[in-house]
Amino acid sequence: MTFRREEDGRKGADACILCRLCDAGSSYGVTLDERRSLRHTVWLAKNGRESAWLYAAMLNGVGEKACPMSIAIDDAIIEARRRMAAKGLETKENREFFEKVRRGVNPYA
Amino acid sequence: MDAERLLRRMVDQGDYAADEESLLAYSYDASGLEGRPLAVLKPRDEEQVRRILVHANQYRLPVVPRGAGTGIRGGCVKEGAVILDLRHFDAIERLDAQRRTVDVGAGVTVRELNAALAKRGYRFPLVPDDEEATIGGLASQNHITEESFLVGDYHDVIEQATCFDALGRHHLLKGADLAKAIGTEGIASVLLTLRVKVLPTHKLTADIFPAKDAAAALDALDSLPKKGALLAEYFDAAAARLLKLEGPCLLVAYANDDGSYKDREYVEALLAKRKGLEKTLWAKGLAAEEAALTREQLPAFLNLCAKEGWMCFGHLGGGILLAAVERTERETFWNKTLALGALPGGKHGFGRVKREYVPQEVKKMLLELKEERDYNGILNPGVLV
Repeated sequence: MTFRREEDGRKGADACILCRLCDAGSSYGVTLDERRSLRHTVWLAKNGRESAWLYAAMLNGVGEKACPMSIAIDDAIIEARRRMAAKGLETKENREFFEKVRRGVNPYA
Repeated sequence: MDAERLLRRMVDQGDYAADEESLLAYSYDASGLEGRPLAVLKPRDEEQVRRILVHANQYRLPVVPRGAGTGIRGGCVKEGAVILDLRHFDAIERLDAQRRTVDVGAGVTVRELNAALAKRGYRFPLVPDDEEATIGGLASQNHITEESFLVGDYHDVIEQATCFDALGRHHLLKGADLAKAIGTEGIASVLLTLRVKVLPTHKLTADIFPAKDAAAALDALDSLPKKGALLAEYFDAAAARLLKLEGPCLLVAYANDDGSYKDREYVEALLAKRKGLEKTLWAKGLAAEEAALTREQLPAFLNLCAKEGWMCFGHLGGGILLAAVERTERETFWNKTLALGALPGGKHGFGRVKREYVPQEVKKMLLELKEERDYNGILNPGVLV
């Protein structure tokens, strides 16, 4: 898998300065739940933490646009999730989702 | 019942958190410091804050008020503390067009405030590099921005505020009492609401004056009619290059037609680039460290920057200059600035990171205030004093 940042020179999560500008469009602004903040999700990815909260980010690209450090946020989170999955640590919800995809039924039902 | 279990009762269900992930999420801010708190409480009204403080005082639990956690001096990170997340104090109300003031909760971010004010034709002028910072957090640091040239610091833009001291006593702060609370980084009171001054939206033009160095730029600034000037920023040659300007130079922006650069879009883009300069430097492995300087200290500071090869820029009009130093050299910068007799601070607060650089006379004043408002020392221990 080639991540976009390898093509356009954007940076990985380790470049995060924890400024929170990425949260301008995240659900944190509504829930005020720090665990759901994009900053925390990137912090988890940056620190190699395995956590179900890595799945809190919607990967809609809004945070990436606001990032002053040009971090490929979505790629960094996908990468961290992949590391978790490779260790068999994906969340129960995720396992169920992909099981439904495998069975050819609506995964959102 | 133990102190921790009692804490749960102080706030609504769902507003208390002590799960692993919440403690992790509140264990850091933008400073890079880390400290795992005891619990996180998110009060929704003043009575809840009062109860938490009274309880914490009784059990001598350290309490750390927190906004958005965007501070870079570690002011809201503390091992074993009760984190008081004030983001639910998010009301923006009573915009007084005549007095040009608005009442805001301490947990309102600058972005939220300016989005709300823009609809009514106003704006809050002291916009930090990071708009996700809360007004309460910025006031507690007495944050300085480019537009401090026109409007001053948080002492000047806050008309009144309400707070609780550590004993849970409510205070309406005005005048000298208010001045004592601003910039105290949550060590003597928990700010709840603030009445801040706003400006009507206005024209935006700019001038860029070439200047040999910051001292020459300051002379040029003296000869300018200050009327309508919003900010006056100095950039040495290296800093100017990052903004795609010819340097060294002095950038002056006006709230009227006085500037020769009249394309609003261009001026706004230039100011946005200026606002992002510290982060641009960080991406290059450098930290922008500030010094509060008198006119007499300026030549020595410029010599120091030249000798050390530090890029120099900043809020010349507000008496704050920044130097871009290697992140590992920050202490060298602080010590050498101090040796010049200047204050190695003044923009971002001192927090936990730079507490030993707080001047002794300020520490003495803060300790007196702490004795009066927090004699058990539960509020933000380890910060400033």
